[in-house]
Amino acid sequence: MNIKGVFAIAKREFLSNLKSIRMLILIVLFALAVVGGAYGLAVLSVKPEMIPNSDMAEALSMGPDAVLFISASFVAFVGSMAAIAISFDSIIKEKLQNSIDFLLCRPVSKREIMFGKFLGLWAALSLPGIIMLLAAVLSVANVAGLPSKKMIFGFIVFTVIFFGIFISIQQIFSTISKTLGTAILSGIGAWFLFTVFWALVSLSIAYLMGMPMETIQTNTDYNLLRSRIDLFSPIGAYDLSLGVLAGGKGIRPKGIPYWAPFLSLFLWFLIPLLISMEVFHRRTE
Amino acid sequence: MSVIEAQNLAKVFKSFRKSFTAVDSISFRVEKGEVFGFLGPNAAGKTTTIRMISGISRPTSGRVSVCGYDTILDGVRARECVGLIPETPGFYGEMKGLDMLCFYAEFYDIKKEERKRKARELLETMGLTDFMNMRIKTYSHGMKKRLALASALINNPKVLILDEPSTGLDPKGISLFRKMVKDMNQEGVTVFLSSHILSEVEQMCDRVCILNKGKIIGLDSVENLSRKIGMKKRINVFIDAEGINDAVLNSVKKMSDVLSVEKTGTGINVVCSRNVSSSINEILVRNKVKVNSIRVTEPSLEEIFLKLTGDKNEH
Repeated sequence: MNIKGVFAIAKREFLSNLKSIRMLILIVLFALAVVGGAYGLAVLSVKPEMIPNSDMAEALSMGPDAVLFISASFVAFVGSMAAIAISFDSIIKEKLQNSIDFLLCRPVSKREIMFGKFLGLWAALSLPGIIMLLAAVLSVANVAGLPSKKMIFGFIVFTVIFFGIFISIQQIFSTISKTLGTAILSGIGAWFLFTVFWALVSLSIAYLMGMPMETIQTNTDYNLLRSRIDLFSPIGAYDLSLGVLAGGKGIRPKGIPYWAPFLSLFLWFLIPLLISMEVFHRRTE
Repeated sequence: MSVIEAQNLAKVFKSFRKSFTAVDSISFRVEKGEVFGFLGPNAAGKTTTIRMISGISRPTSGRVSVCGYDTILDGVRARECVGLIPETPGFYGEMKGLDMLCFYAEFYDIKKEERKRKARELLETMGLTDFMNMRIKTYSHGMKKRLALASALINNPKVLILDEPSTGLDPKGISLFRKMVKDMNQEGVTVFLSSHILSEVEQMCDRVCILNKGKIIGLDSVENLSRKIGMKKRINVFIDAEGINDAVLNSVKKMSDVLSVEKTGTGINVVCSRNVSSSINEILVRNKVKVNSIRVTEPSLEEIFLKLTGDKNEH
């Protein structure tokens, strides 16, 4: 492996993205959604009478770990979008501006080029991301008490892994797309699939299995089914992994081994990354 | 010693329904220190071949080695020897010229302090010192071409591969570019030059490979190629207009090996199958014609190219 080459690509990608206008916009979004969301939930957790939804009030009342767990929904929503926003043009732009040949003729393999790009993008998103996550933890600690160490660790580490998943997915689209428009649309499609559409997948299967729709949210079989289906989604794996760490009634995933979400999250991280490297290798033949 | 060796190199592009053979089992060698010209009409397979040599693209069959390293099996080592200027070099517009060269230098075994020194040196050679701290998006086309050459030379390559290097350059830029390439060659760098500008290839290259529809249709020096395809030599004799009369013209026309005589503004243009310039000169002197110059022109690469490719409009 040409470590120097991988590092050079990663450094260039990191610096150019970190200094970009889009990163500034993403930082603002992060601040509003992640820090603001966590703070808001922390406030609600100490004033449960303000919450009309009793389930939510019950969950938030379980303490700062639960607050952090619920605020991870905002992180998943904005984090996946941010990963797509910074990586949608990582390959297609190189192709369109013809700088790809200058890169490909260097003594570094195509898989290493992709890996270097991934590392750079991942670091560029993770650096402000971690700062925002720490700010979110601090805001929760300030209002609702300090979350447990394992929850803080999981909240940060799993989120960073989560960023990596969406960066890899978007890099695949960026490699196979012929235009910037197609690249970003494919990314938005993936984001939509996992953030919005995935819930419909488990609902549809439950419906086909004949589960009653009126009481679906409280149906034990449905919750079991949803946990299993969520293992096949990166957002689901992230959410379930944090749920295992947070614990508590209604939060800890049921019917699946405790290690399954971690394994799913790890595989979601590894497989798209390997696919992106392979796709880039083949597509530049 | 061969620096580039291609054996039965082929590239087939496949889509759902069709397949297109861009390069059809070609074999050639480029010797050390040579300037090797690579010619062909559009879609002949030149750029595809260059992409395979520089390790960017994988051959469908056959193999190519650079400096003894197979571009697929030992691609990283092969690419360490190569400096490439692609047909349309693209840059990271937001980067500065100096930073870009330092970035490319990081891929090679060049020490950190050496990278900047080498980059500055190359930018100075290319006349870009004043612009090295400017963003590349502000560079002119010619400046970008020179920057491309600098980036191809950052690793002191043993082989310099140039794909249409003069495209878009003004005459001054072309001349400067050719001089730089010649200097590199004199320093021992083997040059693989693909060009549409036939005069450029004729002037610069020791040997020429002519590619058409993915196949090699000519591979030799310009002189040998012209001999092989039996092209006739052409003599141009320019003489003072005052001394020329019909008798002189008829005398030249009657000479053996003379194919045609054409009157030009100030003299005559004689086309002949053998170099008979000295005999023509004798006739002219005998007839008291003042001869200002006699210029003998060998068959041009353009003629060879057109004859071999068989289509005058293709290139």
